[in-house]
Amino acid sequence: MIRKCSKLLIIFIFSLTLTSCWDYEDIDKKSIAISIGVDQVADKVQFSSEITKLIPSQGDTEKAQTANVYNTVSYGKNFEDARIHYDAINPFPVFLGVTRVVIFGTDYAKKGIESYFNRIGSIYDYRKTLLPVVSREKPTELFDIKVEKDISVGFLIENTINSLANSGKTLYPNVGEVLSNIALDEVGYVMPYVGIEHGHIVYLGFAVMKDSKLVGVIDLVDTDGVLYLLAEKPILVEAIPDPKKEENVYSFRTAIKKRKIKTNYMNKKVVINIDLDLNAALRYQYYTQPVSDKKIKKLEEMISEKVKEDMRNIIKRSQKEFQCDIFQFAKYFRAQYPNIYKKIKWEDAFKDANVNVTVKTKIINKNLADPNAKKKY
Amino acid sequence: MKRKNKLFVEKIKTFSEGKFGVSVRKLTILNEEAFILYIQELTDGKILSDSIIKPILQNGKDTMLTIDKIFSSVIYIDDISMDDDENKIEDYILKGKSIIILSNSEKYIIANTLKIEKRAVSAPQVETTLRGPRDSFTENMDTNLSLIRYRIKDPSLRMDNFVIGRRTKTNVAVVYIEDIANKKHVDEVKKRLDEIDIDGVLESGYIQKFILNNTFDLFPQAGIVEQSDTACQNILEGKLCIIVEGSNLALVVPKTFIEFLDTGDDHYENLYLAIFSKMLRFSALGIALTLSALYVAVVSFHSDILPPQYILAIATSRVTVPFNAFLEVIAMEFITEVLREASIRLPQQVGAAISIVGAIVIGQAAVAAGLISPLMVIIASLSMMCSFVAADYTIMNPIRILKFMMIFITGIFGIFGFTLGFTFIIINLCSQTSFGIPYFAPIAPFNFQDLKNYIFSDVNLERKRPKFLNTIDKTRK
Repeated sequence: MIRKCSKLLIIFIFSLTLTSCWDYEDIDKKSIAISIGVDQVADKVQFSSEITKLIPSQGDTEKAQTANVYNTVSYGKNFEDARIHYDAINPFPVFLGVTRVVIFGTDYAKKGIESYFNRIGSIYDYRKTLLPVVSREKPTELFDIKVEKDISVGFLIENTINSLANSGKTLYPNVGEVLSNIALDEVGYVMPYVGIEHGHIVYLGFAVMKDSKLVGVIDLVDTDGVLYLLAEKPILVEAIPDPKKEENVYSFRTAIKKRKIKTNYMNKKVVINIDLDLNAALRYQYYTQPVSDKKIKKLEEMISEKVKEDMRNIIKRSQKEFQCDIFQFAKYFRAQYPNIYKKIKWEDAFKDANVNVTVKTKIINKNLADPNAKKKY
Repeated sequence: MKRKNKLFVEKIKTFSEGKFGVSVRKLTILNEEAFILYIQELTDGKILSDSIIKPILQNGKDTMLTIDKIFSSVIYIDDISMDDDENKIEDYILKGKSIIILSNSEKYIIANTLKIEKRAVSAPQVETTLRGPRDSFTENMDTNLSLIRYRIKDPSLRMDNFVIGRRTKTNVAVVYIEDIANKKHVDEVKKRLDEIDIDGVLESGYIQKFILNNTFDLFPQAGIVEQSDTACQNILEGKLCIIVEGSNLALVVPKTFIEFLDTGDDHYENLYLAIFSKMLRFSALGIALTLSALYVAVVSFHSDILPPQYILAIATSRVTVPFNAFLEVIAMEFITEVLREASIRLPQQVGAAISIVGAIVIGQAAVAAGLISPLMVIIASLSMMCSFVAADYTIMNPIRILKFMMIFITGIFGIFGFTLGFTFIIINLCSQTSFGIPYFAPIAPFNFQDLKNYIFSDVNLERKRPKFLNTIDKTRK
């Protein structure tokens, strides 16, 4: 009997000593933070956040309850200090498990956000799938906007970026990915850039981060090149004007069939070869015309050229203007030439790297425009 | 008067005093006296008078009657025998037989005039079914045996009889097919039945307790069966059916865990429906066991495991609840268990009242008063509903108890405790045996063929009997 119980006892003693499950606290007795803003105000760190306001159901209303939020702001000379003040203004212990977005103010982003990422990376409270964004305006200003489209600013930003990323129109880098880029050193990365326009919170493009410091912004209209290089399944729309008839425009939806990035090291220079196979589907023409095989070929070339140009431009910008490898080509080079990678300084090597881009496009869907049809009238 | 005869007369004298409730009917015929001993309550009076008294009196008017003559050519009873042991007389009478003694004979006749009040074969009450015959077992053993015999006309069908209970002398029959059932199981069951030494057996539950491996095992190792077709299905599979006199629930041994979630319907219905309902039953069993505990784990310890929107929904629904999640769950589960217990015990006429009270008090008032979160009501009722899915309800009883264990251990240790508790249950299940068969077969030890047959439950695909039963005849088709 004792022998039987001893096993049971061992398991219980182990569980008692090894678990840290003594933090019993019901979820409704916690301050649930939906989004966190981090900014620099004068020489102090500013923590702002949206905390869920839990509203009890009104006896006879049959309506589903929706969460509401209130904003809090706290300051401190460092994170710990700011956090003490932050905890001091909240009625319950702050619960960060629901936090969807962390918004960095431009001032703070320019100073460097690595320390905050390390904080998120090492503290268990946060989800590692958190979305980091950089805001043109101060996070407090963002939080002050009355959101009608969603539960809160945090949810609005997260949902906007998420839906755009799902349809291949932006990137959704989570904290885990950013941390791995930071760990790679020498490479930059991009984060979604948001701001306020006409009283609405909008997605503005990408914030370019070098050494985790904001060095520039890629506008929404220029993001195509970045997406062709970085997005998992970019689906973009390309408007190609008819080579013969200017006013007619062919609207294509392009999708990547194959993306191949190879690196080389020749004459002490890094060579990066990017091969892109695109599938394009003709969605419609501004003025419907029959499309001949010849024209299809021509259009394919034009799309390829356009995409190539987009990519070249953005790569050139990253080499010259941002001077950092925001596309993480270093990962490919390091895998192919680990020894050379150790010797060279990638940041400098990338600036002078030869980048060759080849794009092949195939129009797979002509939207029922018969290539053999003759014009009847 | 002969020596034996004296002893008989003494017996008759003692019985005549009326202490034993034995009636003595004295008949005077031509040359001597005849005595008929019987218990009035157990005896069919019509048979007694028409088939025994009447022929004896008529024949005895003008012919000499001997005991042999009465036995062979006078009385009309089908089930009769002769004996000369005076000590057995009492036993026979108590079993409902009538004894005929002649004043000058050394033997006596035992005639079966037993009459028992029995209810007619009716639809099953415990093991209800949608598709399947409605003739279920009754409290009468002969009826039950006849229901089996009528379905299985195999000459190798065996019905071994036992008399258990020093005082109740209850008949127990072990039914199996000799050339299918594993001999080891048959011998083991018979051995265990032989070893039973108790004053009385009133229900098959008594027998079940005696043939178990260990009194403290939580999960039942013998199934109960009320439908005669299910019993036959089990017998055909190579199992043993134990029928107890006075009990409408027969026992089936050996039985593994997953077989408790099998119903007759599965075998009669479409293959896809069988698979679907099996999955449904298994997930329901899982829900009944774990849902409330998981709620505690999620609300109180690891809210992070849910997507943000869900967490917000739970948090909002719990805002007014004054108790913590653990107490809330315990209270709700307690209330639902009380409701269940009350609805079983209550007379049918007031049964409806309890459901109204339950629905209003728990469903509406508690939520409106902000004492219980609406989500908790859903969880408690779902877990309650899920505990009714098994055809053999006995498997759900341990689940109901273990549910509380899971809630307690999760309330203390969070998801770690949940895992701990769940592991204990699985280990317990895997280490049990039912008459030497691993309780978790055919999952552990794994047997693909058996598992496939179990899930498909299709007689067309089931060519072999379950391997774990190790039957003599292994093929079905």
